[in-house]
Amino acid sequence: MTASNRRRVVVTGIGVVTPVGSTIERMWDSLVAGRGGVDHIKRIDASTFPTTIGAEVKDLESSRLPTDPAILELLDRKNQFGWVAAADALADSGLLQLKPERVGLSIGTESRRPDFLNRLAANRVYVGETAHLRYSPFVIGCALSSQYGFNGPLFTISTACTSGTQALGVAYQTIQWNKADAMLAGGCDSLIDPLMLTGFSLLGALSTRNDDPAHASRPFDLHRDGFVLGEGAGMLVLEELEHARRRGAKIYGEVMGYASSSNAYRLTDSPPDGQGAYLSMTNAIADAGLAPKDIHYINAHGTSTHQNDKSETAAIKRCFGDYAYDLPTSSTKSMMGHLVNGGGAVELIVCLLTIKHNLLTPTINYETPDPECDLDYVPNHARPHRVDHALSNSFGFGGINATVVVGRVNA
Amino acid sequence: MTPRRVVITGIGLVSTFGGDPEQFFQALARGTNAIRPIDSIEGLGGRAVLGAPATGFNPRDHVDGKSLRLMAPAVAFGVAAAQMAMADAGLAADAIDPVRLGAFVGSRGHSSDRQDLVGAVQRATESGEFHLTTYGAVGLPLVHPMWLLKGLANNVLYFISLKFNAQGMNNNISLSGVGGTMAVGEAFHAVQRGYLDGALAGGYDSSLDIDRAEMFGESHLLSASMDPNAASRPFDARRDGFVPGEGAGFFVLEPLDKARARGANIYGEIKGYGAATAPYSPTHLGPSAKGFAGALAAAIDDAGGRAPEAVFAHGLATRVSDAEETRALKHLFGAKASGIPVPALKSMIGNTFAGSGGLETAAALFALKHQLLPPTINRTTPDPACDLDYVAGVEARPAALDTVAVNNVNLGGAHAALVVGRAEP
Repeated sequence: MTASNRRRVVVTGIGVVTPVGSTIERMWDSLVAGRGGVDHIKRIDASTFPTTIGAEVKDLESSRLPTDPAILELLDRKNQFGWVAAADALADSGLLQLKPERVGLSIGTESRRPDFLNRLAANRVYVGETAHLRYSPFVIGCALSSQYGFNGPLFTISTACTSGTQALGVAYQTIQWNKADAMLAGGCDSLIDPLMLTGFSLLGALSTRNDDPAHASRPFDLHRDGFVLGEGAGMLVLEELEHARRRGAKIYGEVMGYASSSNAYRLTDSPPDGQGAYLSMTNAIADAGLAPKDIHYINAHGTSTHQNDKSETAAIKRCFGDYAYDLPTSSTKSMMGHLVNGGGAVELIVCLLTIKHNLLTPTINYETPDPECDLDYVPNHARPHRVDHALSNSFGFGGINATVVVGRVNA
Repeated sequence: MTPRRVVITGIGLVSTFGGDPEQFFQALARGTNAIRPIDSIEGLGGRAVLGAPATGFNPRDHVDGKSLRLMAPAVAFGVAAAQMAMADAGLAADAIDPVRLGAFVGSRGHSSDRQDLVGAVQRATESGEFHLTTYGAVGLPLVHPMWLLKGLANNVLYFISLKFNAQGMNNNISLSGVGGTMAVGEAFHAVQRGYLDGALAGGYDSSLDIDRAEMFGESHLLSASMDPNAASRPFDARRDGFVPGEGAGFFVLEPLDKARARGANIYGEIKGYGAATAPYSPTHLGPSAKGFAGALAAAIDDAGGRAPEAVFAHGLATRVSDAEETRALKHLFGAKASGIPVPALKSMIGNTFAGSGGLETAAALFALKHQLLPPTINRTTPDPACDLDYVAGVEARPAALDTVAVNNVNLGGAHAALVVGRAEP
């Protein structure tokens, strides 16, 4: 199908919960100011863990959480973030005034985790009639479907750090292929829990800069030593362009292209030549009907691990050639850490706001250049830049990559 | 581009009737009950539960020891089934450009093997109470260093992408009971629309572990019966819940023209796919007539609009789900509904969750091939709320079948359906 005759998909609503602000405005202010959210972990006593730092959500008003006790019981912390971001995105879009039959959902998330160890210690992990729902990754999608009466397709995607971006890509395709007129799509996660600290610490993936949390997440810097676990959610309302125009919806931008790929390489390491990332970027740009030089900003996966940042840089150079050096590329994770299942969605929202404001958000903590990471990472300070098309990358354990391209929509 | 026709050229199964697809179907056609008491589930202390375990499956026949140590138990089902599907398809290693070969997997999310955590938790509970700081200091180092990756939700996707150098579009849909169905559906659309020239697609699961036993014990969704010959009874008036099963079903999908050009064996064509969500109610998330009807209507519409000659039911065997599924079929097909047979395979093989879509679609393909519908066993007492033709009994029924639909739903109310058609000569 050619780009000219297929249905176009735009974003008409956005909502976030992040470690640097739990509204769009607060988050954007922090990102523009280069204000990070990484600190010593306070929610749990992590003092004896190998890593004691994280990026926690600090400003989420309890009044924004679901009020129905039955819903609250169903949703763990990450899913409550997802619920709040979804409510904000839907309110922002005004979509709720419409018939919901042709509205679907696509959410990147995972199984329930927070209390698993305590319950295992008590030798009774699953309690209550809704246990099969509470511990299943699909519960947030089903609960939101029920809450808003959305009857379109429901996707729950679990591909680790790539989930949110793949959830958005699938939502975009579902509208493009005329299986829905609108999709609530995004991802949510909370990594500040004992099990995730265990799992990622044992893999040696986390920064152990425990005495200096503010500078721990330093993507592309020579002295980076791993990523910082974060938490939060990003939700977007994707809508068919004419459907959005007919109802006079505000339009943040167009989802123009999507691709996913697999490294077919190693479980955690990325290939030195960046093959999988190269493939997902190249195919997403082609899907958008654009050429590489049309991309004006990359929101990098940029985790702050030695491997990822090097491999991603190599992939960007392969994809964009010499233009890579003139193409601003920054990592939101320098400020909010790694939201894993929630990361891709928040970062695509950052791309849309970048287009809206023509303002690049920085990679903070960038102090010492790494010869192997020699692109323009928008170091430390926001700066104005005309951005009509932006690209967001997500790469996950298991070697799964996904890229989404968004663009400006002229009124 | 014009949508391409998509066919299935390889099938790989791990099932309670073994790994041979033809034998799997023949066992179903004979009305074989696979449900039996199982007293070997780790952590249950010898307590017996009813279930339909995979048989004839040794992971070491399919996966090397080093890789196996990186897999939670059910992961090996998925990897093995995908490998068997590729072998069955007879594709040469370079037959499909690696960047045009993708994989789509239905799963249940992170499948933590709790045995990997028990020792660490016990160390942190030696004082009688669990202390997080003790755990961090002396428990955590006892955890299997690869714990996170062993249960990684997209573990099967990783291993099969690696094995077959499948670098193209992919996904891991963690929707449990409907995940495998949607994985096949999404792969179908990706090949149909030209994103891929080949795809591996299917689902895998096991509900025969301590986590599922505890979870479903709490939720009262399991049949309370301990009679293996009567516990699983979809659409029967005395149904009282499902019986857990396990397995995996994977397919190789190719465009029809390319499959023909290489002289591949074609099992059948994927004609349509649809999904819909409609939880029963806000306080009772689960299957609903609206969701069953929405997904099946979308799949039939996707297939060109003609009603299938049979519908392989989800047939969960809970009070609500079977009545809702019946209501949906009557709503969709009206007076013709009573003339459309609706066999429920879970009566024989139990509920394989994310494995359901693959296993039940494989059975549908063989039903088309043999023009034969397997029965719903244990459907002996009519229920006024379930009054369609479920092919009740223990014998297969000859039927003229051009297309068959496969219905699936998960326990939260996400529904999906596929329509598959006969391979043309």
